[in-house]
Amino acid sequence: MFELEEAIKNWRKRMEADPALEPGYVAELESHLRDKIDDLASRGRAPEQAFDDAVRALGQTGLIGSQFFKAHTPRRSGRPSWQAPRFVPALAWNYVHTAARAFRRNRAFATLNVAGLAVGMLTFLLIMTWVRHELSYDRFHKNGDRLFMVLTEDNKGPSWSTTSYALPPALKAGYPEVEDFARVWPWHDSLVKYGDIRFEEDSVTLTDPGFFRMFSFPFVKGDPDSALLDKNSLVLTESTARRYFGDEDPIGKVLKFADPDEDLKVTGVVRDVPANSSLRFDMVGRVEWLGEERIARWTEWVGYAYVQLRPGVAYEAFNKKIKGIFQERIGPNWPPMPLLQPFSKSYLYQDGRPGIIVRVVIFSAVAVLVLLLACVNFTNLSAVQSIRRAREVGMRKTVGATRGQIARQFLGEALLLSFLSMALALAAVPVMLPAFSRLAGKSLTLFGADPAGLIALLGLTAAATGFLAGSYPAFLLSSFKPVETLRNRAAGSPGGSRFRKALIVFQFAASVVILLGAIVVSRQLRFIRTFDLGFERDQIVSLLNNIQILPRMDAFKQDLGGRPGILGVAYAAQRPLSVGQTIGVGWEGNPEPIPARIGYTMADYDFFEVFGMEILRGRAFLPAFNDAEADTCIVNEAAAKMFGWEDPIGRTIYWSQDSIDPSRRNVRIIGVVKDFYDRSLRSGIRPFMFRVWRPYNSFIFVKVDKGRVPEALAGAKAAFEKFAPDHSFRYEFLDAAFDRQYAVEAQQGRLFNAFGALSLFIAALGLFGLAAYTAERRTKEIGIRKVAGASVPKLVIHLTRDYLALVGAALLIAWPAGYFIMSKWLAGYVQRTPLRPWYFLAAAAVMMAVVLAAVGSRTLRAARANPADCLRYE
Amino acid sequence: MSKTLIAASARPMVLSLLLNEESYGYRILQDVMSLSGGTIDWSEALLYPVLHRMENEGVIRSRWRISEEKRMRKYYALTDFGRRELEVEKERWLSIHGAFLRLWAPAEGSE
Repeated sequence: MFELEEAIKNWRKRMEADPALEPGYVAELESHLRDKIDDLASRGRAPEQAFDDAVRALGQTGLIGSQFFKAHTPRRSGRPSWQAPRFVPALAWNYVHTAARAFRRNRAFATLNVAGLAVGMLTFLLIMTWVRHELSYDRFHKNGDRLFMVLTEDNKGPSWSTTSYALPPALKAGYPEVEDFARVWPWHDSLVKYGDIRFEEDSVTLTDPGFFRMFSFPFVKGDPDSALLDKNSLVLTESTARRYFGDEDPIGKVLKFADPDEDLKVTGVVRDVPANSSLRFDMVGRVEWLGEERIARWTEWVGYAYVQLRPGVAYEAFNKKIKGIFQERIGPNWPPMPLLQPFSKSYLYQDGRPGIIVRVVIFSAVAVLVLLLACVNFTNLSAVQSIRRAREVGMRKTVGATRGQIARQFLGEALLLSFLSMALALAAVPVMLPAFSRLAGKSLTLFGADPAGLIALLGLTAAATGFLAGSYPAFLLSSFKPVETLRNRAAGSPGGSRFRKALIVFQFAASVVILLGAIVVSRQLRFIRTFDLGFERDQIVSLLNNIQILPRMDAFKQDLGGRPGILGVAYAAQRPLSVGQTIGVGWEGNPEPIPARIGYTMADYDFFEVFGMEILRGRAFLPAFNDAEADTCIVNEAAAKMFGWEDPIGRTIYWSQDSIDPSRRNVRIIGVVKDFYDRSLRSGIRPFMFRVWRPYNSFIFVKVDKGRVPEALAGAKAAFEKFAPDHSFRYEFLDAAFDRQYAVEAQQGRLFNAFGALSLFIAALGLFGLAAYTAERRTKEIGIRKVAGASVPKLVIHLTRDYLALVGAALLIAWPAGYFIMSKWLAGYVQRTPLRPWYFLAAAAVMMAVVLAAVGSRTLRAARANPADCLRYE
Repeated sequence: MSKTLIAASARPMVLSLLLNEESYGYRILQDVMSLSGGTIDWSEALLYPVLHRMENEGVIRSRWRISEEKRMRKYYALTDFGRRELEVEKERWLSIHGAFLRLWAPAEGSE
C-alpha cells in the first residue's frame, strides 16, 4: 500500500543529502511538492501517481541543487566547491611524471607493451603501403573519370577484356558521346636495330593516335596530339631512347624494325611509365601494323580498347544505348554486347570481375587483425599490471579525483604509448620496406603520391589504437575503491578476468586462422606445382621463333635435334600453358545457331611426342606438309564429347574463320588426344583442336635430357645463333613459366607466412608477459604446493593448464571460421587440394607449441625455485 | 519559447505578479501558466533559484506563514526597492515593446 507521508519523507531525505540544498530550501520545495500533489489529486489522480508526477516535475536532485547553488554562490563558474574541477593544470605534469615513473619501475612490461604495439603497427603500415599502392593504380590520368575500357559481355558467362577492333572507330563515328578512342595491343615484339645497336623489344604497344590524347603520359620531347598521326611514327620512353641514342636527340631518328619489316621514325619521347600504371610499354606505334584487314574485322576479338567520353555523359546510359551494336553489324545470332567499365577500375576488377580488389580486401583485413592482436596484448598486459597502480588510484581518489579523471589519465597514458609505438614503427619502416617490397613483388614507397593522406592515416591509426587498447585498462583502474586499495595490497585483484580470457581466446583464434591460411595456401601451391596437366613440362625449354628461322624450320630442327642432350624439337603457335586463341567451329548437329568457340593452336607433327601427350584414337599428324594433311585436325576428349560423336575419327567439322579461304574450312578429324589443361588451373579443361600448319608457329619447344641440361642449352644456343645471327638467344623452361603463372599465389603464400609468424610473435609476446605476471603472483602458492610434495612437472602442468584450455576454446572458433574462409578461397580454383584434417591439427599444434614455449619457460623457472625462498619473501 | 527569453522575463514577471499581493512558489507557477495561456512553462529548477536570487538582491522578501489550508508556506512580497525596480523594468519592456510595434505596424498596414 502506498504511504504518501512515507514517500515524502524519503524524498526529503534524498533532497537533504544534496550539499547544495539547505534545510529551508528543502522545506520550501516540500510545500511546493505537497501543493502539486493536492492539485493533481483534486483532478482525480491516484496518490501514488500524483506523487510520482510531482517528483518528476521537480526534477533530479542534482540538477535543482546546482541551480540553487548558483543562485547563492559568488563563484563565476558556479561549480560547487565539493565537485572536483574539470582540469587541474598543475596535475598535467604530474601525470607525465607518474607515467614515466611507472614505466621505469616496470621496464619489462613497458617494453613488452610498446614492442607488441610497434610490431603490430609496423605490420599494419607495411600492408597499408601495399594497399595504397594497389589502390593508386591508373589514378594519375587527367581525364581519368572519362576514360573507359571496352569489355565484352555475353549472356552466357562473365565478361572478358578484349573486343573487336572494328568497334571503337564505329563508336566514335556513330555516337557523339564518344570523344576519342584507343585500341591498345600491348604484346608486340620485334627485333629493333639502330646502326649496330640492336635489342629484342618485347614491350611494344600498338595503338591509335588517341592514346596520348587520352592517357596522361607526360612528353619530354614531341607533342601528344600529333605524335602518332603518321603510320610510321614511334614514341619511346626516356630509358628506351637512352638505350639506342645515348645523349643524342632521338626526335627524327629512324629505327629499323624486323616485324613489321619497316623503318619507324621517332616522333616523341615520354617519361618512363610510373609503377602504378596498368598500361606498360617501352615503345608505342600504330595499331595498323597488326594488319589493316584484321583490325577492321567485326568478328575477331583482337585485344584491349579504351574510349574517352565527352564531359557529362553517363556511361551506364551509354552502355544501354550501344548494347545491340554487334547484333546490328554481325548478325542477330551473335550474343556478345560491349560494356564500358571505368578505366580506373580495370586494374582492380580485371575482366569486369573482382580480381586484385579481393586481395586488397583480404590483406587489409589481415592488417587490421594483426593490429587488433597487438591491441589485445596491450589491454591484457595493462590490465594485469594495473594492480601495481592501485594505490596511486586510491590516493588520487582520496584527494578528490573523480572516476572520469582517473580514466582520462590512463587513457592518456595509453595514447602516449600508442604514439610512441607509432614513432618506433615509423622509424623501422625504411629498414623493413625493401624486404617487404621484395616479398610483395612491388617497389613500394612509404609516402608515395599522397603524403597528407598518409599522415592522416598514421595519426588516426595511433589514436584509434590508443583508445582501443587503453579503454579497458582505464575503465578497470578507475573502478578501484580507495578504501580497499589503501588497506592492503592483495585487495582489488584485477577483476574482469573473464573479459581478459575472452580477449586471449580471440587472439589465439585469429592466430590460428592466419596460420591455417598460411598452411592451406602453401599446400595449394604445392598441389598446383605437382599437378599433372596432361603434358610434360619439366624437360621442355621454349624458344621464340623469328623471321630468320621461319624459312628454314626443317633445317633448324634437324641441326638442333642432332645436338647432344636434346631429345626432340617441335614448333607450335601457342604455348600449352597459356593458349589465348579460340576458334569458332560448326558441326553437324550443333544445337546452337552459331559456331562454338574452342581452344585452338597450330602445332607440328611431333608436338604430341615431345610433350608426352597420349593419342587415344586415330593417329598423330604426318610430317608431310601437304594440303591433304593441312585439312585434318586432332581434337581432345572434351571436344569429341561436345560434338557428341562416339567415334569422331574421319568426321568433318566446319571451321568458321573469316580470314581462311572458304574452300579450306572443312576439316577432317584424324585423332583424339587425351584431355589436358591448356591454360592456368583457375580455368578448367575445355574443348580443343590442333592443326598442322607451319607459317604461324612462333614457339620452338625443345625437349632436353634432364641430366645434361647445360650441354643441351649450349647446343641450342649455338644452333640458334647459327640460324638467326640477328636475334638474341632467349629461353625459358616451361616449368619456370608455369611457376610464373602462379606468382600471385606464391606471393600470397609468402605474405601469409610472414603475417602468420608475426601474429604468433605478438601473441607469444603477450603470453610471456601474462605468464610472468601469473608466476609472480602465485609464488607463495607454488612454494606451498612444493612443500606439500608437488613435483616440478606437475606444477608446470598446473600453471599452464589454464592457457591450454584457452587454446582449446580458441580452436572451437578458429576451426570452423578457418574452414569457411579457406574453402571460399579454394573455390577459386578448378583443381584444388582437399582441406585435410591435419592442416587444422598442424595449426593447432603450432599454436599450442608457442603457448607452451611462452608460458612454460617462465613457469618452469617459478616451479624450480626453492620454496624456502619464496615462502620467506614478504 | 527560448530559454534565454524565459530567463530574461522571469524577473519582471515575478515582480509584477507580486505587485498586489504576496504569493508563494507553486501559485506563481500556476499564475504564469494561466496568464500566458500555457505558452510559458517555468520549471521549478528555474523559479526557486530566481526567487532566492531576487531576495538576496533585496527586491522581494519572504516569510513563513500558515496558510488557510493549515500548511507552512513561504510567501514572497515586494519591498519598496522592488516597487521601484518594477517601474524601471516596466519602462524597459514597454520601450522594447513599443519599438517592435512601430517596426511591425507599417508592414501590417500596407497589406
